[in-house]
Amino acid sequence: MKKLFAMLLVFAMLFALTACATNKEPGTPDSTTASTGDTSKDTTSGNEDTTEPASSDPIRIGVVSTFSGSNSGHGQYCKEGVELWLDNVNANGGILGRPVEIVYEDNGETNQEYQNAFIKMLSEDNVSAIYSNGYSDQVTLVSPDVESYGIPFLAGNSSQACLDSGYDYYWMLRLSDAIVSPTMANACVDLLSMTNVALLQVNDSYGDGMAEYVVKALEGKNVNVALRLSFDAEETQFNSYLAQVQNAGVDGIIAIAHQDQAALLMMQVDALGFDVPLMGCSQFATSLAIDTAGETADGWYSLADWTCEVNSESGAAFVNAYREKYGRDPDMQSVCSYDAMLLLQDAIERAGTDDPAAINAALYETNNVVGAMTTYTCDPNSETASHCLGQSIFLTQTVNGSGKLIDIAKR
Amino acid sequence: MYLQLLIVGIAMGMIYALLSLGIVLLVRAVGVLNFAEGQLFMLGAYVTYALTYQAGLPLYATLIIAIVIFALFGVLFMFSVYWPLRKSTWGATIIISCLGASTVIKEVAKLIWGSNPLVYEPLVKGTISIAGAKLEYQYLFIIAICIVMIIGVELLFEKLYVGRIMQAAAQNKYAAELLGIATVVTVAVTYALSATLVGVGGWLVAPLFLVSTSLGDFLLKGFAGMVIGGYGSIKGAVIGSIFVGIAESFSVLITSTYKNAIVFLILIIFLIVKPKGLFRPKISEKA
Repeated sequence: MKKLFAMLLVFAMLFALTACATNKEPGTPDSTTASTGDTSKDTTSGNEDTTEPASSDPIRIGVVSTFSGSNSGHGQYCKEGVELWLDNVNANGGILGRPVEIVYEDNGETNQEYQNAFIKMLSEDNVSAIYSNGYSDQVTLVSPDVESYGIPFLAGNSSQACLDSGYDYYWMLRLSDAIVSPTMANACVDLLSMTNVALLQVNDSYGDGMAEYVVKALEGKNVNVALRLSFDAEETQFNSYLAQVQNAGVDGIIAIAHQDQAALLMMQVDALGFDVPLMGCSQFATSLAIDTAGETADGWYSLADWTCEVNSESGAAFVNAYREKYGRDPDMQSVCSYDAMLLLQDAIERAGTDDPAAINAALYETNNVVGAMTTYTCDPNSETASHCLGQSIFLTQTVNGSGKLIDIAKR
Repeated sequence: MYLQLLIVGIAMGMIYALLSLGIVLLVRAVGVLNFAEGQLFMLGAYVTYALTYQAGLPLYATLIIAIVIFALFGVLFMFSVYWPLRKSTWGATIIISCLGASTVIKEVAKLIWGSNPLVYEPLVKGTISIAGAKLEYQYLFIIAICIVMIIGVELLFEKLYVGRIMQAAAQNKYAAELLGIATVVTVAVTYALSATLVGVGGWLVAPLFLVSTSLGDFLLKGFAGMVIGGYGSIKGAVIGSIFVGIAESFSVLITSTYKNAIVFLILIIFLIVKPKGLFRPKISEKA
């Protein structure tokens, strides 16, 4: 017993010494170099090297996504979008005459794993900017770290709360919930003639945040929310929720859920034979949700960030290139990552350097950057959404397993 | 609506009952809480998916082969997770072994079938209207199959000689071995039966909730049903599980967000007020 105790003590001391040594290394958020955002380079080299990299050194961009676990489909689509851009940019001489290198980190399944992967990206991967398609909960979790490391972070989430936090290095690619919700309410009333609706929503920061804005917008259009039911992000049994919806006598259903749940909801709504207009959040129009739900996805309307029927030149070119390279249609995750890379390319070229602080400053000057999904502009006059770069969203209806474009709503 | 909630609740309760029975059989036979039962349930969905869609077998062949696979996997599980550790002096050894096995099964399933949910078509598509309540045929199918299986287990243990041998071996291994009963066989049969019950449960829910690794989460409700019904009681496991299913279904009338919390609140109340559950097992203590 004494031996065991002694061994544990030795291990504890060794661990403490290691921790102390780690704290002394440069590159931590509190160090001098961290304020410039050039933290990971120091960590890698182990000394305070402030010299500019040689011109042949690659520009490193980080991507944090789910490459394992139940949502690894997200990561696969995300990676495909990035690689499509990467092949093109490197084939054309890279950025600033330097090749581009992508560093991937797998954020696994849990918020803790996401944070660990992100911290590793910030502190050790020597990247100039990061893109991640993490959920809003996860983005909220890592945003303070992003700020302290000073590395620009383009995110694929859409929670207005993340914008409201006012972080300098956080950038939202898509339109936020607060901007999308009035458009959704307009479509529910003007297109689908809803007057008395049931709202089903996932009860995490994405669902709660968006539902609040949707309810507010619906009330502004004199639509009665007869029933509002929320469920866990792990919920799969929607039958008892839908029994209540049937009983409530509503003339429309609005649903906010992540894509696995969106697929299940579409399947279970179809099985019960609802004969009312159905409106879902953008997740209902993702390829993963539609592929899983099959023909039961048909008929659902959605405020979608992406549809392969996109009518812009850049969007159509992206779809064709994607189909040619991967033999399948791009998902929202693919186009988000692709556009994020285009935005970073634009910012790096205008900054003339891969210094994170300079890139971040350049992002503030983003103006009409044409992406596949939409165009991107930083509007400094917007008090609540200057860091929200997207400018439009699609209203779609799923027909024969694909999103049919109904309208484009501009910001 | 109430009828719809009731039937859905009973159907889900029946599914939890299969999980509970799987757990109870092992508790009675070897005194082990098998925390990997949820993953065996999940595996049931994946195996039947593979046989139906990847091997292209008809329903009857799928069922027969799936049951054989479940039983064999149960025996394999026993010899790899339980048998080598059965004489461990630390009581938690096998529980930890089961937890480890559950992770392995889940990850292997992901490696084989990927992480995206898979669609399993219901045997009979569509809904039926009963007194204004719309119900998917699959729920009625679940109730029918589960009733047959539960009656089968009851008959096995109460009426058949084999069941009595298994009960005898569970009650007193040493005495059973003196009487010439090979306890290794009775334990292996129990594991096979347990894996088959939960495997069929996984097959039954696959058309409703997709084939994915999250199906393993159903285990918690199975545990709740077992505790409410009476730890170690077959009849209690069934009734307790149906009670859990109905409580869960109706709880959305009170709160949709915290419906799981309501189920587990009921469980805690039972643990405080009636800690031995609704029914005490016939064999209350193992020798």
